[in-house]
Amino acid sequence: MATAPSLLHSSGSSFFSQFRAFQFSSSSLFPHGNRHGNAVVSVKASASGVVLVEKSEAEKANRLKTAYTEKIIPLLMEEFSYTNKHQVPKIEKIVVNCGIGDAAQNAKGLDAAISDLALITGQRPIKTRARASLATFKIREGQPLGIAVTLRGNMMYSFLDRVINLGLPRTRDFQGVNPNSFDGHGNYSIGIKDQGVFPEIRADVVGKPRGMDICIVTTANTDQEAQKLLALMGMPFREGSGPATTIRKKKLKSHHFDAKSKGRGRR
Amino acid sequence: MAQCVTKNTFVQGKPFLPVPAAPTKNVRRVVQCGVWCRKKEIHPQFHEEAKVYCNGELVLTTGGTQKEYVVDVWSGNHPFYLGSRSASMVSDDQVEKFRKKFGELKEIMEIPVLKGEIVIPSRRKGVSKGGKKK
Repeated sequence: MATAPSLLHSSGSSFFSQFRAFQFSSSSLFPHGNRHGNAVVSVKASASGVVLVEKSEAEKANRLKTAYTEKIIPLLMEEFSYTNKHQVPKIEKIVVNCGIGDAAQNAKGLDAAISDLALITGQRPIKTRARASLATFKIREGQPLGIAVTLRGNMMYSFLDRVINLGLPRTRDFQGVNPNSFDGHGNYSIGIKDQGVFPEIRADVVGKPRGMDICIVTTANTDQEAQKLLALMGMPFREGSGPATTIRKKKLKSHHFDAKSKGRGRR
Repeated sequence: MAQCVTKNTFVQGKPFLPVPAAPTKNVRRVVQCGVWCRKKEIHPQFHEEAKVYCNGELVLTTGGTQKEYVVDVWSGNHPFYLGSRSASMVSDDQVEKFRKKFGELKEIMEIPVLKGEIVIPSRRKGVSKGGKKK
């Protein structure tokens, strides 16, 4: 919501009390449904000590990209002993995905979801469609199932800035994002349960809260490099075990090769 | 896959400040390599320098679909980002939420102090009508 700052001066503190109480009760972020890993959730910021947003940088546009080129690249070159500047990992793209189950039956809801995600990301999403017909899921080939946005360049840095500094702090019971959500190849994913944490979405919109998945694709080869890159950019990781030391290879089970049990596994 | 372009336009909330009629810098940018994957005039208007205000002061400048953002909590005053262990803003209990919502009504927040001795009247026994059964 956009409000003039003069309105803020004239309003009393009771407006802030109701606003604050309402904001916290309507947003949530849970990286995992079942919480595994470390059981103790420590409430502490990242120990890297990087200043997230300085006072003097409030006026600066494209702050995150400038911070990356001027501050983060020398730090990463020093820490990981890169010989070339182009070896430093960077964020390649951010894919925001939102699966809508009743997209075919509810075309108006799909258009509303497209408008909301376009407002959040600044770019109009495309409709993702089914590749094959599945009777158990009641979908047919070519039917829209969800929406997705691929952000690159300046749009990507602006969106990441808004996620880190505006969206995630307004999440209910926010204790940091999961440091184990890397995929083994340097990409990181966040699941946001409610789009209402973003300031573009009006807080008084009734209806079912819609969430989304944010996948940050980096050019890092290992999870340590990607984790350090995102931590230096300001991603509020929870303390605990970091990414694994070795690249995890997915072990293919026997039913991957058995053609007879493939249909049974899919059912 | 084929992308279905519908005709719906993005109706945004009416801003307080007049939006400049000229398109933003991002739309007119010409990519050197010639590949331009971003279609024109279907995306919402994007402001390269959107101001973020918190408690009336400018705290951040970022890009977004709104000219100005007014937020109550951002990364500069969230307790997790600041590294403090105070949980006053993150998880309020019901009493604290009630105080924040109705804290201005002072006259009902105070519990009156009762003075003097309180005499509770004893329960008077009612005369039963159907005392005797024939």
